[in-house]
Amino acid sequence: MSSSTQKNNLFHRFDGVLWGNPVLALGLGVPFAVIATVSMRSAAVLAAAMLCTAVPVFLVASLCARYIPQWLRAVVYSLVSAAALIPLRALLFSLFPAVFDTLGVYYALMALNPAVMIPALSHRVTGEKPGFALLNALCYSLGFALVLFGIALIREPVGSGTIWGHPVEIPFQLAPAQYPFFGFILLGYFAAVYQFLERLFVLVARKRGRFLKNSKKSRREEEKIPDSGSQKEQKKKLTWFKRNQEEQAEEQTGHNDTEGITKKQLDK
Amino acid sequence: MKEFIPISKAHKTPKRSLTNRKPLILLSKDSSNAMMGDVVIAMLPLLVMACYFYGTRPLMVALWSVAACKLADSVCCLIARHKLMLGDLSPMVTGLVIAMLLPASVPYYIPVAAGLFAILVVKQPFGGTGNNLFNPAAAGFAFAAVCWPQTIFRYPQPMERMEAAGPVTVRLLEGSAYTLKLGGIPSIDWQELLLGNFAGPMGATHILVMATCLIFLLARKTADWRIPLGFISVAAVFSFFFARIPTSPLNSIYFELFSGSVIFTAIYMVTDPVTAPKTGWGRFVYGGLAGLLTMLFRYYGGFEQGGMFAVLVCNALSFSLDRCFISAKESVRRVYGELVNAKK
Amino acid sequence: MISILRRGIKPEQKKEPALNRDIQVFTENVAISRLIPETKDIDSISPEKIIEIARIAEIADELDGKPLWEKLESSRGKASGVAADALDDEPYLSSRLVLILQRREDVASGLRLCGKALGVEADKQFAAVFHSLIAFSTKIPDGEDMRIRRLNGKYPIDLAEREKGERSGVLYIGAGAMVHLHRAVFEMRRQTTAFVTLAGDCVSAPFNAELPLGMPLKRALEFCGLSEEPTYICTNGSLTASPVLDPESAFVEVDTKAILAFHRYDHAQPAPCIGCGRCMEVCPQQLPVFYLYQASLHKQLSLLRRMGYERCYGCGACTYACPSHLDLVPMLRQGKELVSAGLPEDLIQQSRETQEQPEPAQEAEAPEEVNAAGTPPSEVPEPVTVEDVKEPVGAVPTPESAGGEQEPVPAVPEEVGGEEAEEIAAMRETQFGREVLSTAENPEPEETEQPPNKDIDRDQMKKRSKKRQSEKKQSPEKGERAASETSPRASQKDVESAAGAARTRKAPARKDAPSGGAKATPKKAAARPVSSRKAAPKAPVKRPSRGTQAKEKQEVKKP
Repeated sequence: MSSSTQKNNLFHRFDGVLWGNPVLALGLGVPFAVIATVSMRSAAVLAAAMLCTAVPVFLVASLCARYIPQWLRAVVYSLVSAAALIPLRALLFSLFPAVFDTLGVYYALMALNPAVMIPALSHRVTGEKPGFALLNALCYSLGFALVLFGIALIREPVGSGTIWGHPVEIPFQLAPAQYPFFGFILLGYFAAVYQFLERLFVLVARKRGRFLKNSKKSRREEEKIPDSGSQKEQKKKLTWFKRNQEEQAEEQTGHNDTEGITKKQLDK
Repeated sequence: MKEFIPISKAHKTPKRSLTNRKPLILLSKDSSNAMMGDVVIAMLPLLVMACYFYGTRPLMVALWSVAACKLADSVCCLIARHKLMLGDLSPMVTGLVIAMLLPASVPYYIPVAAGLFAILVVKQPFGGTGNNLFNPAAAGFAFAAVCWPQTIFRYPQPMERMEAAGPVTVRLLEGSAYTLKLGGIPSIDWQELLLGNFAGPMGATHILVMATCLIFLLARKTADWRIPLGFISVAAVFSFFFARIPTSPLNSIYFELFSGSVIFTAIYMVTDPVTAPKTGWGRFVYGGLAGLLTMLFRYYGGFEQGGMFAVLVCNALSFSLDRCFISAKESVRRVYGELVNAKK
Repeated sequence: MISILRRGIKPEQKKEPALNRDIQVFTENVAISRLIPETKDIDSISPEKIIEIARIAEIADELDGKPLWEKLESSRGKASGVAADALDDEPYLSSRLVLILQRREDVASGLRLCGKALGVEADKQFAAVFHSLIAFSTKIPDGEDMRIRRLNGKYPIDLAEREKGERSGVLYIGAGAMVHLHRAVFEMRRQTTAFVTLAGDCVSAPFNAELPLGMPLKRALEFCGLSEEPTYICTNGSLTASPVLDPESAFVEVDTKAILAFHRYDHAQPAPCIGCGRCMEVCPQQLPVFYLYQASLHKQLSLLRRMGYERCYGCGACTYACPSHLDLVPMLRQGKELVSAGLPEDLIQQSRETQEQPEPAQEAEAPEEVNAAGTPPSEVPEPVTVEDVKEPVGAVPTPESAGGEQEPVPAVPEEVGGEEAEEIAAMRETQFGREVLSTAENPEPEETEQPPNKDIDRDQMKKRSKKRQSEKKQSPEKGERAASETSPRASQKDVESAAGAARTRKAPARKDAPSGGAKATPKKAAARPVSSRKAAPKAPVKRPSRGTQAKEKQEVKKP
């Protein structure tokens, strides 16, 4: 998806929250969704960590990617996110000290979060405008956080009978909900429901003809905007060229219209 | 997968038009549903023995388990828009296997939960009947074992009959597998051990009955003989050479095999055709590997029984085993063909 | 004893009533061939003569439908034995076995003839009979005139035996072919019949019959008398059956060995495959049938290739053994076809190759134009050239589509050869599937829109085609003028837009003879795909313009 399409398309501007959710649609950051969702607090910690790493990384990617050679970019981004995580830990430790025991190494692993790295390395963010990169960072973090909180909302009460640390009355408890296998299974179901809803949405939206890349409007807009890449360029040049001539043809055939119509009627 | 039509519609097929489908008279008289039916039939004697020992409660446990599985299966078929086959017996098999592995005193929510897990998580998301990668019954029981270990592995004493309804008031004992795990020798007479007159899973203790059922299944060709043979022989050899209890090696085989669910796993869980490999040699290796892993899990694992986990691990390997043997055969054939050509 | 260990299935044979009844002959008419010389005695003809007679009499081996003389000719001197194949190991089939019982002398004589033709001694000739473990109560005595060899084992026995036979050099020929050979040599009769078993549920009294070739199956079934209306009719076997859906349009052929009709409506209910692996146990070729089935179902070609897909010969043992009653053989066949057809890349490579070597009629012109344009020679030859070729051959003008049509039907006249035109059309289809920037010389835009181009609106297409028609109605001179006007317009209609590129490149050349270029449009459109032949011909308008166009075309091509 090119940025131009996104700019044109209101819905795709907020990719990452629901539409291209990093965990459910792209499958990035699954370990975090499984390990950290044991309690809502750990989910909150990791969501905050994601936000605090995504924003600087995406900004760096959008502004400085040109100056960094391709092979070095991932390294630089990880260093940036690690640098961002350090002060965040100090802050979060003062708020939720116990969570870091549960998280263990996974907090530090957020420096290598694929939900941040992969979009940062893709053309979506690399070289785009910083404002757009910031928006992307926020969207992805929000999507990530939604999934984490959603899963934790089920696992914490069922597993340990608490929500955000406060004990809650739950009809049945399943201590093994704390085990990773349960997290994987829940994540799988979440992804399945998400895909079902996505397909449903696409079906509905297609009928309306809006909010979709492939809709006529966006396609025509795309064609008018010159795209990078030789093939695409030439393709579009020719279509434009053809279109030009179609328009000329139309002008010239104005006088033949009546004849055409009668013939059409005759044939029918 | 989406081609099957419900039995009710079959009789509405017009007799007058010509079809492409072969009439049954040109095909073998077997049916896959009948194969599942064979397995159900092979477990009914175990249920009868359990009822004899434990009263009517085992019947209710089995009913709850089967009902949960069947209902979940049907609901999933509707959701996935497969044609509903109400006569499909495979969820019944799953339900019965889960029930047989549980103690007769188990609270009803456990077989229901295990059955639901088996169908909703392990069987249907992978495609339903015939497409599951892992044995749903083994996975359901493993889930129950992980979630409620205390409840699952405490068995009532046989001949203390329990009612179907009402609380369970009998004394619960540890199974013989637990004794073995601690390094002790279960104090059970050999006749009792063979007849199943000792505390253990409600369907997995009746060794003689299970042996008969095994012969039945082998004769009907529902279970391939290679798998239980591999399983039991490797488990026996392992317990012979690496006895963990201070008796003679033969006694060790005897106790190890007849405690817990080793024989039951060998006959009903490992032989599941959907998840087992299809090549002959692959089946041998699969059975052997499952036997080995069962013994290892029993010796070194966290639970006293290891059959269900071993089956799950081997299910993951069954395609690889098949592929290995198929490629081996193909290369042998090619080499042989080249040799023959070279001779010419 | 080895037969027990051999792979295969043991279905019930069900040959009984048919086997014990006489062969019913449908018609007493015989076809005598004047070309066959009269022969009294086997010693008086030479082996070559026998083969010649087999050829004249058009005898075919019913096992595989191949002409008998070819088989004899190719095995002359190489065969170490010859066998009259009366194996009939499938249920219900007994049409060859009954010949051993009731036409024994004919079969023996035919066998001797074959032996003489092949140069095989008498003791190496035998008839092969299937003696299954489920024995049927017919005794077939070994005799002086013909040795009988009983083959034990499970179905499919014939392939195993034939393979063994091939390895040891024994040629298996159907017993029916033997009878026909005897008749051809000694009674000068051509083969006009086949021996067929008529059996099944619906046939109350099954029997073997000698039916004329080309007889509709429906008539054959009426001949035997159906007690119920059948729901499943198959020919050529029961396990390797080919189901027949329209008995009126299917005929008795040389390799029809049986016509079976069943009315039992309890057809096999397709159940899901439970992976029992019985198909793999019974496969005589030891193929991993389960995996081949799954791979064919899900079109995983790489998996198919690794597993020996080509060795399946369709015996049907797996279909019989499957407890879920899956139709395995058709799916395996589909897999075989998938792999032989190759991956998409192979197809593309093939199509590229066919386009690199254009059809002979176009060869002279295509390379020139293509090279003149400076384009790579791998591109498709111009449709224009095709039209020129079509021009002299197909004088009937191709119809121009009516205004309302999207695809003006350039119905290539039948004289040209529908197949050829379709091939060309198909070639063009692939051309259209190519990249936008195909640099083929494609000067003439078309009226058709074969993969529908999103850019071009249908309405505009209609307008354009209407326009063209109106132009063509004008006089040739006017047409020329109009054509020159329309040439830039015409090029737009090029679906591939390569025209745009080509046009820009070719612009100078084009300007020399714009009319020629433009006028070539209707021709090109005319020779276009044949798929929708709807419009009416408009001959008078086109012919003169075409003639001029042809000349102008040639001018264009030789710049």
